[in-house]
Amino acid sequence: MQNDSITRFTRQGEIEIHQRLLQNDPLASSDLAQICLEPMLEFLSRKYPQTDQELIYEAATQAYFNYVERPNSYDPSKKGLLAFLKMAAEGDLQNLRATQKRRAKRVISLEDVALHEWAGNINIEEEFINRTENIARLEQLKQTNLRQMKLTADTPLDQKLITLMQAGERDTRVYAQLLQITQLPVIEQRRIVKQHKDRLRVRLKRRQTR
Amino acid sequence: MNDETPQKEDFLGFTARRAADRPYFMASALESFRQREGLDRVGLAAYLGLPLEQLDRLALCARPNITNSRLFRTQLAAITVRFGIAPTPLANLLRRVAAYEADSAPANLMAARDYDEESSTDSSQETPKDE
Repeated sequence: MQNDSITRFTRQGEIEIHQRLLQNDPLASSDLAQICLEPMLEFLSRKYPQTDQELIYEAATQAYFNYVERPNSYDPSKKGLLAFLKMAAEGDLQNLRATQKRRAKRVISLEDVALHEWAGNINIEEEFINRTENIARLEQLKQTNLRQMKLTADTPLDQKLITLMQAGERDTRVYAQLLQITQLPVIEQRRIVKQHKDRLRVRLKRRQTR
Repeated sequence: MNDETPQKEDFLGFTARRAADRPYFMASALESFRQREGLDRVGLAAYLGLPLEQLDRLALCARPNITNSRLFRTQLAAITVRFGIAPTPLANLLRRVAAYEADSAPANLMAARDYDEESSTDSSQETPKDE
């Protein structure tokens, strides 16, 4: 097994590191991470400057993991390893963006639900004139909806989650503590917290459409 | 970029943390051991005799194959030589993690046990807790 760390990508270096992965050299994945992650990140950040950095990190990491765990997915005769990883990361990023868009469409915010309730009676001028009053009304509706949700919450945990939402809490860490998931990676915590919030919002929407 | 998104220089650390969920990587064994033994990262690095700043690089190594005695030794040696650490604590860590994960498959532990019986002469580093 090769013990020397490679410090930059050359065509020869790419072939060597690929061979080392195939030969179960346990150092190969670490060496690869040190030389490929940064260029992948720069490539994605430059090509998708408007995209959330978190998604870019996620995509680069995912492409790296997929290759390291299944090095046979790469054919050295077709393309350089770094080019392959960049292409894979770009594909992963596009998938992540598509997933994010789909989720965003599905999510119905509390504000949307509250607005929907009185949208039929909106007069634009009146709304403009009475903006302050309407904002107060919107807030009141939100609080009423949350109180109703709280009354019908299935579990004490849901009640506590709703209380936090009602208080306007937006910090994922607070919800993560309540859900006892602080040991998980931050991205995973955020995903789980969002899942719970979405679930409670959907419940509210169902109540209103009955 | 929000507060929870890693800075560029910490991308290796971010990747190492994400690797903790993937059995391929040493990160999964390190994290499992760290949690079970109630260690923080500093404690884990001290247990391994490894500088803290090297922990993420170690975490991104492949986890030695404990089911194949010969391969296990070769892979363990490659890692310990590269990182300049004693083999015994790392072998013990891998053995314990395998025990956590595979109580019902004791045969899987043979490679690490063989290693301990035959090769382990370094008793200078104690494990944090005896089983």
